[in-house]
Amino acid sequence: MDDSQKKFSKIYDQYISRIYRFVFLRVNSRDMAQDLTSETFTRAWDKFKGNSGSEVKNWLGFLYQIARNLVTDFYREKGKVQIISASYAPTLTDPSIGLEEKAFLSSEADQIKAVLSKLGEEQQEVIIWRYLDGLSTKEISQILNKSEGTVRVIVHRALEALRKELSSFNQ
Amino acid sequence: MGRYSVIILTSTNKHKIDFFFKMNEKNLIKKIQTLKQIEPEKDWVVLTKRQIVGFEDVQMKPSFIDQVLEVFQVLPGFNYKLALATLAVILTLGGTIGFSQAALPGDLLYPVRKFVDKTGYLFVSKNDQPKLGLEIANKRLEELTMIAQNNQGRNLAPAINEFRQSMVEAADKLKIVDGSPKITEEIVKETGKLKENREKVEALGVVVGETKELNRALSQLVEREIKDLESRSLTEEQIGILTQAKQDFKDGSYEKALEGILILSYPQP
Repeated sequence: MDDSQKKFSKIYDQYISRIYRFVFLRVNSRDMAQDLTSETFTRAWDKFKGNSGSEVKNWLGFLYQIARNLVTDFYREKGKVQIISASYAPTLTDPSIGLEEKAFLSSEADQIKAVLSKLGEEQQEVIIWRYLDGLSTKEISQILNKSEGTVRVIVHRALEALRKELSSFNQ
Repeated sequence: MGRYSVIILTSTNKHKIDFFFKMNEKNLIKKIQTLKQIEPEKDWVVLTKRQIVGFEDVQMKPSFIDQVLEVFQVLPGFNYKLALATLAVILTLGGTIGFSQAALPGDLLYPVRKFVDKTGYLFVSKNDQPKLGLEIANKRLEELTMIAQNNQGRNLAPAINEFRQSMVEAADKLKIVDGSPKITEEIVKETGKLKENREKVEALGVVVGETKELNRALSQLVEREIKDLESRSLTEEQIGILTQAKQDFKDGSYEKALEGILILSYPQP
């Protein structure tokens, strides 16, 4: 194992879970999440091999950039149809969800996952980055290539949207 | 007026509403964080890494040094390089000390072993120093025995010198004995051991020579104890023991004399 393999191996170990979670929440499919995450790291490794990664200052941001591009490409290829896991179909297609389905989505994580998938692409991303991965506004602004002020507004609106969706989900 | 009472928020109400929203936000963030339980399958993580990076050792376990340094990373002003250098010095010292414990007189690391032995004096009370002195002397005799047994001629002379030197030091420490029963008992024990070890090494054909300093120190100690006993009123049986101790003292059997003194001065229950 050479030095670059060792270094990249550390990057992989450090970020694999976060990138997988980000992709999984965006595509709602385990298989797709695995494929896209794998592709994310393959591209990152190619970049790393090319110049030993010296050009990349923020690996997490860089990986998120690749992952979100891949997710976008994925939806574009699928004719802009968001793939939704079968378990969430009732909540998204039928507002008058039955008691049985509600019980099915009883756990908090399942609920929030279902509700999150109803938000817009950017809102989902900022919620994940800000509140799951603990990224600062500055870090998010670098990934999105937007000003910190704009990011603050997006985060605020995303949280409000999520609150609304959650409240209508529980009604 | 009725309309105003509905719209205008008093300061107290405003706090209540803010608090309500803050609590909601807090709960909402808490709910979002339940998604942290989403984890990739471990097998998939391992396999994918192998496919991408192309090697077997997938889960890079942090090295022992990294684990140790991680503990100190919580300290304010933690400096990785400085901590690593300090750790390296500590490990080198530790390793040297560890290896030195197997060193014999004449070996490169032997001075380290001697130094470690001597630092023992810093950690014991003054009263325990005579015992430690005799223990070190016994150690030197054991080393000498080992050298003689292994026929390491090159180390023999330095080992004899080390033993003699240790005896001088032990004698020196004996001068400070205050005559407490525990210490006298330990001196008797260690002196007995010293005698045994000496006999062992002499049986191997090694002549360690006279140990005048220790004999002198023991002689002074016995003499002091005998004088003290003579000033006390003793039973006939005790007088008999004291007479025997005096005879042992005259014969130069200080260890035997001390045994008698111990019985008289500090009778066992």
